[in-house]
Amino acid sequence: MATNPFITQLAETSGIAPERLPGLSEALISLITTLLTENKSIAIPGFGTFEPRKEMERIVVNAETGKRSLVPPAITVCFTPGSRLKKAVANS
Amino acid sequence: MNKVTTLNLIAEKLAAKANISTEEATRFVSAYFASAETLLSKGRSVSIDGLGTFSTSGGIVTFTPDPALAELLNEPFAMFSSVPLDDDFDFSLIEEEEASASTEENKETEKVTQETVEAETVSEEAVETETVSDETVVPKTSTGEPAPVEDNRRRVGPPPFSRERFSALSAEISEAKPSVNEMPEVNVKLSGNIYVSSADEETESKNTAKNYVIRIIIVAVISLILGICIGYCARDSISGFIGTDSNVTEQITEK
Repeated sequence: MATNPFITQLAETSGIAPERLPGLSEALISLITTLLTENKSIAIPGFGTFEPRKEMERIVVNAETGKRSLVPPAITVCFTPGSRLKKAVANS
Repeated sequence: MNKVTTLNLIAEKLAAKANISTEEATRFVSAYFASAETLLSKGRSVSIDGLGTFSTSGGIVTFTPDPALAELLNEPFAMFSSVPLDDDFDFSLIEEEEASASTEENKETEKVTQETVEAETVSEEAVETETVSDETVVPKTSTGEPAPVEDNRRRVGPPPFSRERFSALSAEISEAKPSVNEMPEVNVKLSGNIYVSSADEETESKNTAKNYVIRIIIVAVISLILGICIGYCARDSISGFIGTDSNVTEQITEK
């Protein structure tokens, strides 16, 4: 589902004027992105937690060729679903 | 490690950014994720531009970060790419270096240090009998290098009884010192392949070299004192060796 249908859905649930929602949504996403780049995790009650995790460099073996290569360190965003979201999805 | 940002803090920052009240921002953020939740509970996947895709499979929510977000987060490591390793790569070395690994080191500065270090080692290689040119050979020599130094120390262990032997041994020890000083450069050369702060490595190897020199000096001083003591205690038997006839010295001492 793309962002725009998502926003129309959001306009129904929140009492905010639909024309203001795209701007707010963009501001929220850029805010989350900057917080994540600052190595801060973000907890949304009921929904879940976004957490930037640093993966150390590691050696990966290609199963086909057997060649080993050194993979550089990386930062990945891990999302841990909250209990309410877990339940809602499991019951669906 | 990570500082957790709560909903209130996000709402405050969003309110300041979008010129709305904090209450409205809180309502918006909670409604935003609540609507995502309702969509997910209907079994649909939600993709948010700039953040990522939430999808459900078998009652489990999986989140895939947006490529743009992943790229933005990985900016500090953007200059790195995976490096294929040789078949005969020594993995014990990586385990050692991982302990002191700091990944924020710029690869470019590492390259520069690697070049300078190589330039230094070239002159030493000419002097050394074992020339090291291939990088894959380096691990074996660097681990083998300390062995002769320890051998010297072991030989010093039992105190020498004659002054000639002692002076020969102390000369050997002083010869061994420069080879200890050469060690750090050989070690540092290895760090070029791996993402390791070479500055840390250099100081570490300098410290180990200092320790080796200090140990050798201590051993030399102890063996010198022991030699003098034993020489003093056994001066009669030693003078027997030095003198032409033991009877003569005995006669002298009797007189």
